Amino acid sequence: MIPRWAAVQAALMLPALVWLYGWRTIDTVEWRTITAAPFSVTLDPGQQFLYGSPFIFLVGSYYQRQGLDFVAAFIVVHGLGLACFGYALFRCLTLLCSTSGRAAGVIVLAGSPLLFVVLTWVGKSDTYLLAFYLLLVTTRSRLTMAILSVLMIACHRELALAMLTAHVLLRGSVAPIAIGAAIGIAGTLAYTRVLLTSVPASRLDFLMAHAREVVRGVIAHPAIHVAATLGPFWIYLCRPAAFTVARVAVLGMAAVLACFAYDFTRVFIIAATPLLLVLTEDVVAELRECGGVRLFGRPVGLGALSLLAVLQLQVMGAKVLWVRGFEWTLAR
Amino acid sequence: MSRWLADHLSWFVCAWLALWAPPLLFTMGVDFGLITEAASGFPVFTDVTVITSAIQLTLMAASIRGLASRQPRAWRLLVGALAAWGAHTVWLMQVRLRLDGVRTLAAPETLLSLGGMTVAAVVLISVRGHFRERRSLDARGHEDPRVAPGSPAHVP
Repeated sequence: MIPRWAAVQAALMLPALVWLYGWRTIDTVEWRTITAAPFSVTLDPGQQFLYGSPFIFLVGSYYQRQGLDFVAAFIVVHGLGLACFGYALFRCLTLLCSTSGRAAGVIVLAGSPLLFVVLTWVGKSDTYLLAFYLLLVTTRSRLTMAILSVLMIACHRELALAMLTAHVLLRGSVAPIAIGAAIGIAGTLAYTRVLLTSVPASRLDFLMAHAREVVRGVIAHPAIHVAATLGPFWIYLCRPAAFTVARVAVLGMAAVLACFAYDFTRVFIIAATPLLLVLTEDVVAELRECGGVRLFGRPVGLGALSLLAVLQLQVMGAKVLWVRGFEWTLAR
Repeated sequence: MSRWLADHLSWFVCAWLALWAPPLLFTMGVDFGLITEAASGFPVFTDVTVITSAIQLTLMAASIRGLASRQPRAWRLLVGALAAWGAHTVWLMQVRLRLDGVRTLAAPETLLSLGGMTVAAVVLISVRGHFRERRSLDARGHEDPRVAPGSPAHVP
């Protein structure tokens, strides 16, 4: 049985979390550079991997050609991304948890760093990537799935591929997703290899340049890197019923990607979003049946679960971020 | 295919609005003096293209709610939006004809507008049946009224 006050609690919690986590913009200089000339490679080699994720830059460039300056275009593109993410999450949770369980779904999902990540990386295409994925979960149409897969790949090729693979492992629908992913990859390759003035450095080049630093950082602080991946959401995964081969495979894939990107919270949480949704669905179903979730042998109610939302932290390279802008640097 | 188009028409309209509304709002912000950095010096809100675009986008925005539940009124609003788009294009074409002559009829912007309107018209004609169909289904009571097409609980 889900408490009636869950909706009120979720409605109060979300603005409180937004206030606690705050928001940060990133890649604003790169945004200005790419949107001014989206078909010319003008960035430093260290940042050229951004050309592999052209969706927001092409949309931003369109707005600038229509008369908006680059600041207005940035606000419009990322504001629409947040709105799109909010709507897609609402729609997805309505479908997975039903109307009565939607608020509980929000509270459970707030135990993961997803919201923290969405607010901290304004400037990346994460909101669109997540929104297209959440919409993909809600549709049964194969054509829509394929189109949404193409859009996801246009947002971020590597992360989208990881999410789609995880989706196939957990929910199936191989054919439309494979077709969409293939078209999307062909499109992004055509953009980087044919339409651009020169071939930009890829994410693999970025990895090769930072590999030693990545390994050293992870080895020096393994516990904090693991804790920062799913945050308090780990407790839902640590239940015996939650462990399956497919879910472990998704976790492993997300961990490998996080190592490659040297970004243990954002990349991990986005790659593991299909798993987050499956677990949220499970937890809400258990809440509905038993009135609580059995954690470490004891039932825990929704009120106590909501406290997990304030225990988030993020590892961003060598930095650890916490609420209200608190951050510190990991010692080598 | 027409069923798929009808199911996703509200998505298309939202995407269209997302692409067109911000530039129009920016232009109107300049016209009304709300955005001063880009002041053009032109008279306020007398440009026919801005007015027709504003009408078009308003009609499209008004149709979204009805599209979700397949109301015939929403389809008619979209036809109205298409008519406003047509008026916008005709006005632009006559301005260009007067300024640059007949060769502007083959300009990429004109061809894009005409192509876009043709596609929109074909889509609207092909989905028309689905916006009538719902009324007959309602009369027979065969459709579940609790899960309306396009609502968050509806799965296209």
